[in-house]
Amino acid sequence: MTSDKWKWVFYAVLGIVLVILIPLSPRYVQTLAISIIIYSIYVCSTNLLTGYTGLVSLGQAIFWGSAAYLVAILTTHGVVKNFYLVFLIAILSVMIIGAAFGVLALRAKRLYFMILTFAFGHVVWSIAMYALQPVTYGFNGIRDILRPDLGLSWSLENNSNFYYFTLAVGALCFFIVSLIIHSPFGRILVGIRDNEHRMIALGCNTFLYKFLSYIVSAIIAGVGGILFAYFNGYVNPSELHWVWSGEALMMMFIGGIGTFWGPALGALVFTGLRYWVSAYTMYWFGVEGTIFVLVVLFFRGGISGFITDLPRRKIPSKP
Amino acid sequence: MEKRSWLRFGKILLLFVLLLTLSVEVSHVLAAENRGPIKLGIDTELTGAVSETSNNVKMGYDLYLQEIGNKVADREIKTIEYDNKTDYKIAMEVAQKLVEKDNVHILGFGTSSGAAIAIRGYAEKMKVPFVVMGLGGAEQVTLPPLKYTIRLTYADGQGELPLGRYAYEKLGYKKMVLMGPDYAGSTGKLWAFRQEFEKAGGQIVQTVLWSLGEMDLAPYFAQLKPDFDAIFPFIPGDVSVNRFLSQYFEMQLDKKGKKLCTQWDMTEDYLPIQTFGEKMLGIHSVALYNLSFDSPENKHFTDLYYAKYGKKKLANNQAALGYESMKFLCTALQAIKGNVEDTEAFLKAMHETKIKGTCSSSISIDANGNAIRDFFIRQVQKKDGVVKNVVLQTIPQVRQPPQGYTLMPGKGK
Amino acid sequence: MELSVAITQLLNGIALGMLLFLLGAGLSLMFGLMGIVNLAHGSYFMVGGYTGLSVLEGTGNFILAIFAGAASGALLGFLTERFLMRRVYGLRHHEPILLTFALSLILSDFSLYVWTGIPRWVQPPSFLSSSIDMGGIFYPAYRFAIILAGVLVFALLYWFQEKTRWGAIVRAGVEDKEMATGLGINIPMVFTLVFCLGAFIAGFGGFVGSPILGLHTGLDFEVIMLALAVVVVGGIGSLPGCLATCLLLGLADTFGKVFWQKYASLTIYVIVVIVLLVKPAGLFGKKS
Repeated sequence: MTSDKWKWVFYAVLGIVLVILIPLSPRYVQTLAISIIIYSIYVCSTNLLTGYTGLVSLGQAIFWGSAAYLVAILTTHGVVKNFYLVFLIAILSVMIIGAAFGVLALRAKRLYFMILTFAFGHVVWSIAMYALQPVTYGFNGIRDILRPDLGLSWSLENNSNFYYFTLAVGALCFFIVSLIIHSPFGRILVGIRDNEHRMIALGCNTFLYKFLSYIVSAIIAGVGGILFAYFNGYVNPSELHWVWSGEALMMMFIGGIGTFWGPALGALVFTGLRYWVSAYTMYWFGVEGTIFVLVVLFFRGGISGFITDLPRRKIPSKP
Repeated sequence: MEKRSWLRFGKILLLFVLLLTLSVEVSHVLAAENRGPIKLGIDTELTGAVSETSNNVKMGYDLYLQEIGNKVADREIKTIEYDNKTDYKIAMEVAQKLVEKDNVHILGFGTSSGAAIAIRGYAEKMKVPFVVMGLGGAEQVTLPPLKYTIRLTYADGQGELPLGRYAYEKLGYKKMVLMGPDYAGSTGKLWAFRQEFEKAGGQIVQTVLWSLGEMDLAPYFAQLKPDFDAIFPFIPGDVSVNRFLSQYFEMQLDKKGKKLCTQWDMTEDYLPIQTFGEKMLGIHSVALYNLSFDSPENKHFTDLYYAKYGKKKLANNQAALGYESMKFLCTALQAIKGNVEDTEAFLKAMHETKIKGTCSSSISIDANGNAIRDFFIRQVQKKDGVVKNVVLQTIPQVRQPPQGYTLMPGKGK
Repeated sequence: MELSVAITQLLNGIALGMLLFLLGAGLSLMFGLMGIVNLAHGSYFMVGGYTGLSVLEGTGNFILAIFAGAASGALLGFLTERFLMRRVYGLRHHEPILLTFALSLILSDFSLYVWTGIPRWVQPPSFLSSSIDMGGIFYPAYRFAIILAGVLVFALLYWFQEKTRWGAIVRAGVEDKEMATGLGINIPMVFTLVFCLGAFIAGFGGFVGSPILGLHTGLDFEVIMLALAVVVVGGIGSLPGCLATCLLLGLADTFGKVFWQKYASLTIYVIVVIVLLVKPAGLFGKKS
């Protein structure tokens, strides 16, 4: 059978699992599935920035968290109730923040870029934790966020309905990223990742492309944050913490950096494994770290790479 | 991609589906047991910042469970405990796991107020009794009141209000300073103390706050302006208490006559007194348990405690709270003959239960689900050659202060 | 601000700066020589502290504990370099970083397993637990000791780097790896040496600093960011520059707590941002 036929078989099975099996499963499975999908949107944004554009950032949590906080603040304080308006405000804000930080951070390269993004993240975290405490309630966080009203007769209070909603949004995000990657714009991003100097020599304004990639990643991370706020019903400063940014990088790496399925696989393994493994041991970090070490040393393409058999780079002989 | 890759993707998918079905089946089988044991889920901090507190509380409730042979009204009581690593996200996940996968009858909780605030809404939605057995003192945990939320320990301010008054009226402190990390769990207590201290006639001349997790306190001690009588500090976590005290003594503040007037963690027999000994003499604190308290219940508790754990760590407030919480819970269960499936009856029983505490004459629950109990003003003294806490005054049946009492202005809701 | 308060805070800042130096010097060396950011460096610091604590509890000997802490750091450094880092030299730049991050996770749980998640605190040794009277101002003797320790370590490192043959070899390696190899210098051994040395200092710092910083889970992640700030603000290639940077950051952090309490934790990072935007090579950097 041709590979195409196998591809459609795979998609069919996946479709059945996602659309039929999971909604029929017990509540805790649905809850887990929703978390995984929302996290995979977050990792997808990191994958675009890091996997495809080659920029390692420790600041993606800024956009996830800011969007989540905006949803929380606007809805619980009764400032804006309309879901679509809240969504719009959150996305626009994330774009503005992304543009502001991007312009500054992208002037630095590599490690320094990473540290700058971390520093920005820390500043935003402090703002939520201390400076804006009257509004954000600091450490205690904001609770009792209600599910959004889509204006349809279909209520999102129902877990199953929320699952379908999340699935739809998630699929859309992945689809959009896929479109970007396969477009000329996307090919330039990959070119920048692989050899920025050559792209500059070819007359490309690499700063602009990196900047755009940064903003798009910010938007997608923001979408994830919005969904998270509505789903979790509770937001607290740890959504802005740099460790959360680091975990996105880890999920992406485990799933397979710079691949289409990477974010989903990474979120699945990370969340699912943690859920089950933590029932047996509390040394979850150790397990995660070990998996990570193995992935870096032996499965450099992550799970996705393992599946598609990415050729492994040869380790250079000792200098 | 080749056919082989799609096959592999397919295999992974299949594996995932199998795992899913397996876990669903397993949990269904477990739930299908008729009656079976009473399942008490415990979502607590076994590691991380407040873990010492939660582990002490755990020592208390494990002790009680052992005492009753893990059985209430002839029915086995089974605890399913998970560590939330003092991370609120994990605490939420654990709560969901306990309720949805392990199908617990009661969701017990440890110490972290932030997580408790998040989880209580979820427990209310799922109609599962949410019982805070560790500290979790923030007022938002029980106010505004929720039907399914009960806190068996205490609320911020319950101890601090009487202490504030005592500091002015009995100890004669006219001017005081507040110190603590800048987060609700601490500012709430500081503010409560201030309210009553100033109402009694005192004056708070300075408030020094630092970021949560701040390790080095020397710069903050150095900022204290000289004109004050005493400090009311609140430091979460036990070892941090030692660090605070160490730096307090290093700066020679005790020699300069700047007294300490504190909450119980800072003067506990098992830790700071062991570490600093006679330097601690004279410090007053408010507590809900005292090691040297003379009552048959306390003797019973400490005997059991040392039999199980040895004398390396002396009995303390947190362990007593754990013990009393579990005793309270089991007494309520006994009253409904172990029929925990009848949630309405269980909640009603909880509200009607009254037990004798280790030191407290009586422990019961108010209409909001918060504990009513005795508090004690005590002082570190040397008696029979031993440095220990001695109770000076009992403040009977203290209730949670009204809403808003423990909210420092500018710190949000 | 009163003079006595100012002097106390000044000393606090310098003591903190010295701790930062113990933390950051090793990372700076590693980064300068190998271009690798070792995110497990904070773990060496923490494990060194915990190991020292265990030895202290077992033997009651503070000095022995210090050596134990430092040695455990060196051992970890050696193992890291020999078995992990060697496999990833020359690969895409983010792999070594991710590897060290993974290592920090493993070490974090390892510490959790061995020493449990309950925060620990080390008491200063009895001969240093008093306060020194400087004409009315009392300052803890232990903090003075830390300042001295920092100066001592700096002096030793400087002497090593400038005056010894091994130091010259390390400097050559930092300046120009290829040339150094061409001159017959065994670069892999130099890498290992530098790794061990940096981790040794970190382990030393972790234990020596524990009466001030405490020991708790998560300390490794907290201090690694401080170490990175030191490397980034100070730049690489200058040891005196690293010390100066650490003192600057220590003072900034301490006085930040005085002047803007709420945002005190940000002070260091605001400086990081400003320096990175204005002088990306760092204040004293010789290489960009």
